[in-house]
Amino acid sequence: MSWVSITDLDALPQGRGIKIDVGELRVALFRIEDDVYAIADRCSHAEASLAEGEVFDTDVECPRHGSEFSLITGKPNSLPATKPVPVYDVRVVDGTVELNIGGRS
Amino acid sequence: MLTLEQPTFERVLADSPAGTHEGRKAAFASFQEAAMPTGREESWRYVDLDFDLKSLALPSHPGALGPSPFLEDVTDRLATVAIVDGFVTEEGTSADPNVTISRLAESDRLAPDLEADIFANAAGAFGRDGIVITAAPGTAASTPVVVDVSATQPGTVSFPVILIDVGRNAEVPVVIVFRSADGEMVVSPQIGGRVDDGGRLRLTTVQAWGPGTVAAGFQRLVLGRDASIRVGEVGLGGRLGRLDFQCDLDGDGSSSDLVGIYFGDGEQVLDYRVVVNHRGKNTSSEVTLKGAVEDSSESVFTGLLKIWPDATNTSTFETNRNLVLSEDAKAHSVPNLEILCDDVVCGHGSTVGPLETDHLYYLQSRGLNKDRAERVLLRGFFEEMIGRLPAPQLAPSIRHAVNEKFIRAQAEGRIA
Repeated sequence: MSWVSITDLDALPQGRGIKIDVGELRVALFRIEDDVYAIADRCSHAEASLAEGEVFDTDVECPRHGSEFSLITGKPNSLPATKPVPVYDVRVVDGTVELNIGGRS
Repeated sequence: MLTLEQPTFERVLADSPAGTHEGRKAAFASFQEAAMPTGREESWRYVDLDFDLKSLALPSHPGALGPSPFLEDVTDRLATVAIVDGFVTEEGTSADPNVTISRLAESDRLAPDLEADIFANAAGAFGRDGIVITAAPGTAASTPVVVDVSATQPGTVSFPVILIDVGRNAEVPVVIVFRSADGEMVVSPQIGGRVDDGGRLRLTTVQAWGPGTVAAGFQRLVLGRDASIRVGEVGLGGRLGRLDFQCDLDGDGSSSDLVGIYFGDGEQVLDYRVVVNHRGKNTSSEVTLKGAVEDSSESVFTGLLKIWPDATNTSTFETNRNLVLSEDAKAHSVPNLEILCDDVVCGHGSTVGPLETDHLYYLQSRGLNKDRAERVLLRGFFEEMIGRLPAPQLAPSIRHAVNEKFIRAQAEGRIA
């Protein structure tokens, strides 16, 4: 487990993603109310940026071909993608968003 | 109340530099004689103005608006300028010594075209302030000057002026974001650009007005020899979002590229009047606007590419594509060419229609549900234009704003 601070919660827009590079990871961060979700910023189908997708509840729709991924599990809910994308643990500590770069707990 | 009448004019005149008095007086005389457009004029066809400009008042002081996602996207800036209710509230200091920013009210200059119509007349007479962005010859700036233009006070009218002078062989990007509060108000932004020989201007404007705003904007751009401009226009907000655009390709070898995106919903009217004058030899221009309308909104595109008699070896094309997404929405598209020279390559194209049913069927056959298939098509439609905007930094927030409008229309069952 190694947590790194990546941004302030206040810096994240509501209901849309932002891209952030953490070491070698390309992460798409989403804020929904006061919850933060992090998944790999690369669609498992054609490598589009998921941070630019639209958010529906706790799912994000890939902007290029419309596959919908769960922000909680990383699994696709619809074609054309069939494989999940990596999900990262995030937590908010005193208004700072931290990401676990040591893999899933 | 600073209504647009004689006493207000005298106050504005008394506060302005003597060098502007003659121009202001002429504009005021024209304004007094001018009547509100009725929709019978060719340049106001399809537009219904339900207010009298002469009964509106200038704001007495600047208000304030919250943040804007479009501005937040542009993090790397040469300078930030703010014009609120026609007052320059933040003059900005440029990070590049070759790009200077000064106050219009401290110069002898006025809006670029004072005779175009009643809004232009009023801007000449009553436009109190604005900014002048000057790029010295040879400047090579790649980060933009950002201009935040806002209106906050219902019942008022303001005339923010932005003049951009690009010197010989200079290059400068400018991003202008227009926005306003929710109430009913009128704004008539006046943008003037002069690009000297070999200069390059990259101008991006976003109309993110509030729902009650009537915006009657002007852009007048004049190009010297081998000068070029790239203009990106994004029309999303306003009860009326209008752009009266004129580009004069005066210098030999000059070129312009206008790309535009608009998306109307509710009862919005988004009105584009585009004129490109080819006067120099070997000039080229491209005008490409793509828009969507839903609910009972309307869009208007009238484009005129005019090739003057001596403009030999002109190359030009204008395209306007429209998606009509709801039964009550309308898109008017009138591309025109006026060719007075026989050595030219010109073309124009225009389409108006719904999302293609064949494309929807194909995507659904690949496992996308109908709503998702529609969204993929809509995004694809706009992506071509978003990718060509001169300020790529704005792309994420523009995509999001367009998608948000479309998703709202889907959720409310308005996509036919």
